[in-house]
Amino acid sequence: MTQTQIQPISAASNQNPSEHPERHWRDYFTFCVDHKVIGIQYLVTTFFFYLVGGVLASIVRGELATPDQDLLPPGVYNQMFTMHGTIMIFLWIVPAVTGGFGNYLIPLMIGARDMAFPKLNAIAFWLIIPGALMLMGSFFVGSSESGWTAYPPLSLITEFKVGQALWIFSIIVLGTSSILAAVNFVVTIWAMRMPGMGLFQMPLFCWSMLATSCLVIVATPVLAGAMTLLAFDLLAGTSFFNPTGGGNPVVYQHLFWFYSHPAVYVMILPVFGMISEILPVHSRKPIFGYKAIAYSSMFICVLGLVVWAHHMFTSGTPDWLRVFFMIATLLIAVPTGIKVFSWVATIWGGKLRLNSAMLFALGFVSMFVVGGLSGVTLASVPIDIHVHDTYYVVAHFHYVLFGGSVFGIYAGFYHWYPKIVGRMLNEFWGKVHFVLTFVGFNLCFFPMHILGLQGMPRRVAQYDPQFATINQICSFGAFILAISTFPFLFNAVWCWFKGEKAIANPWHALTLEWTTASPPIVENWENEPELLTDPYDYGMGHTYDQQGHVILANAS
Amino acid sequence: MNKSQKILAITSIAVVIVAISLWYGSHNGLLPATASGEAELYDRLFNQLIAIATGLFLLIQGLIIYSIFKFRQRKGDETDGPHIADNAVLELAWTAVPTMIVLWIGITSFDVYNVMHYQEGDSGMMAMAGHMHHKLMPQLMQEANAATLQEGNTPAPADPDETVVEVAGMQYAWIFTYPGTEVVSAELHLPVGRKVRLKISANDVIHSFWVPQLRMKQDAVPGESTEMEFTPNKIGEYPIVCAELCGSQHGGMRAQMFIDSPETYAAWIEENQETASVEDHKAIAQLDLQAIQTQALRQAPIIATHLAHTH
Repeated sequence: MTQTQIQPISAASNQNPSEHPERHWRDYFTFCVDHKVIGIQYLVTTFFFYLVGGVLASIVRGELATPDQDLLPPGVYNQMFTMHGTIMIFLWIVPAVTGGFGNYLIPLMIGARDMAFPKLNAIAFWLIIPGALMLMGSFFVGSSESGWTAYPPLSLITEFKVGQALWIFSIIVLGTSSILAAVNFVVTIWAMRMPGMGLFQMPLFCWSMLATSCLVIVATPVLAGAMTLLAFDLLAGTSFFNPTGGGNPVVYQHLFWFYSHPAVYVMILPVFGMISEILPVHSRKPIFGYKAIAYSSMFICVLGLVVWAHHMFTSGTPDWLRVFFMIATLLIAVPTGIKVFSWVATIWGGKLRLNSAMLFALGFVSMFVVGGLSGVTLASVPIDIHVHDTYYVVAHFHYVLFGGSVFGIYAGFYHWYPKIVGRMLNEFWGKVHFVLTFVGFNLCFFPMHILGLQGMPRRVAQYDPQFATINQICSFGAFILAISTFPFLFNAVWCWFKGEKAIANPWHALTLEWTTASPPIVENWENEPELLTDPYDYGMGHTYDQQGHVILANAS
Repeated sequence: MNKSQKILAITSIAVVIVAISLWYGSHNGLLPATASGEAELYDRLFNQLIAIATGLFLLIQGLIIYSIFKFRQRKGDETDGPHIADNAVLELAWTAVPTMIVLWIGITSFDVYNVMHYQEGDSGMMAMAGHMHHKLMPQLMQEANAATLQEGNTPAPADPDETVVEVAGMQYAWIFTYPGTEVVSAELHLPVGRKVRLKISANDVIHSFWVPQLRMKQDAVPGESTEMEFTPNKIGEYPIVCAELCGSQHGGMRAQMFIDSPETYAAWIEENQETASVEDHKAIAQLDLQAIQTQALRQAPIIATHLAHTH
């Protein structure tokens, strides 16, 4: 099957490349089946929702700048953080890293012309739109106020029933989109690799997308089930989770976290893969421990499915369950540690090009380590029982999801922007963006560890005045973080039109996406792509021509 | 730098990292005051974890920062770094060492958990519960038993003097009922030095009973009864915080826990008992509840709708 997937292009178009159809800007607003168009559609759409989620976060931090509830009416604050969390997870990180980078890069990295099921791919993207419209629409009818976890009975007795229902349906639609995309990735990676590319010749991003997609396929249907039952409880008066009718609210928590813990790996595994691509290129060294990193992705995928109840250590779960989930959760630190140490060994002894992509990638490793270490402390049942549902947890998951995923996404933007757009980003503004993001992020989230340990619960609009100073620091950091988005936006938009033209392979990278033009032509390559080197063959004396195409050391 | 200088440098850096980690482990000051023996046990575990985390933090961040300076691209150098793609010894080390660290954390946490957590059945059942664990995970349990003996926290037989308080969470207040008396209160008063058992329930949505100074938290789940056990050891006034999102006034759902001397506690019970006995105690309790629930009452229509809807 692998051998037959690549359609030969007619000889005529080979001879005359200018006859290739060009992408028109209108294509980006249509049901286009080109994986590159879909990837860009995902990236632009999700970045818009990142800005919406960011505005909500700023409102939340504005309220928390003072101990009293004085900025927002009661209840509205809860809607703000509920929508912030939901948007950032379901409309930003998950679709950006899987649908966005996954769609754009996977076929290019494995030498395929497109994804296995191009129409399914477009359907998956266009499902995002109704899901997003429902979620945004809920702002006008009073949106969900029960947190992104929507625990019953709170989510059932809400006064914003329509908003809660829209929230549920939106999650079901977005989850469906996610499942469709995941099926496509598994088949594409498994069956559409170019001749000669074995599983262990794949770039590590492909491994991480394989692991991610397996997780999505196993876990997301369970979330859809939980949401469906919750919708029945909310709208039809059933009592699956409603204790007044004999239902069990803790069962909901199990179903919810059976998806939502793996969702954390869905948000971070593709980013792990992106970092494993970016670090070797800009360090000019092979990735250290390729197989260990590939296997650790799969190990996280398997283990990630059996750690969900660590979100429920205080829910009154049985003792044996807590101990089992503690050990399983602690063990996840091992494959994750392998990755971190391998990344550090990759940069060690290299010749680091400290450009914006590399700075964000190094920032990712550095920040993710903090989130990982606090994660290990949270895995310990007794430790968690004190800090569960406090700002310590808020700090932890923002280090993983912002310091981790978002830093990684930015690294990916800077790294692949020349390929996607065909123009270089401005390095000066890239560095300004990095410094502001790094400083703002740490000011905003590091002090939250202390808040949680000292006794501040999460999801509150009013708090003990003894925490006022630290909260002001956090809010100030959030302000810098909000500002930090502007240099990036300015840079990305300006350079789209006016940036310096990018050659095919500006970073002298060895993965296949850099062997075609920037941006790639509609069919990805003029001729059959050629696998000249392994993906990380740096330090073997290869040189590069004017377009950045590799000239093998033994060939010159 | 020759080889012996290198070894000396690496050793001294390692010593500095270990020293800083150990010092920070015991001097981090990140946790609030303690109010029970269990909390002190918690702090010891937390400090050990902080020491380990600090060591790893310094090691990894140190390597990254060092690399940024040492291995940055020099002007005009367009060549690659060395082609080094793996090292079996290193990879084995950074798989095995973290595995051992997390297993050690697991075992140590289990020890602490075993002492801190509420055992099903009354405390006389503790030994039996222990045996059940013993079958499940013999190694962990032996470790745990050894540790509990060292701590002097050997499971005690059922304690008739245990103070039992029923805790009910509702939007947005905690109600404390003292069985055997007629005391119903919005404050939690407990005698110092005696084992306390809280029987926790919820009337409407999920709440979570948390006293940071006890390092303990237990969800209050409607339709289910949960429990929490501890022995307060410091007289004082401590905040009770609701830790589970329970509605628009979640942040305002706070109460006070008073750890009293036995005399003060007895006096408090008596005083409240008298108030309750003067008139029909039910009416008083109702009034008390109303006073406490002013905010909760604003939610009453919603609850009513909800009840009507679910029946």
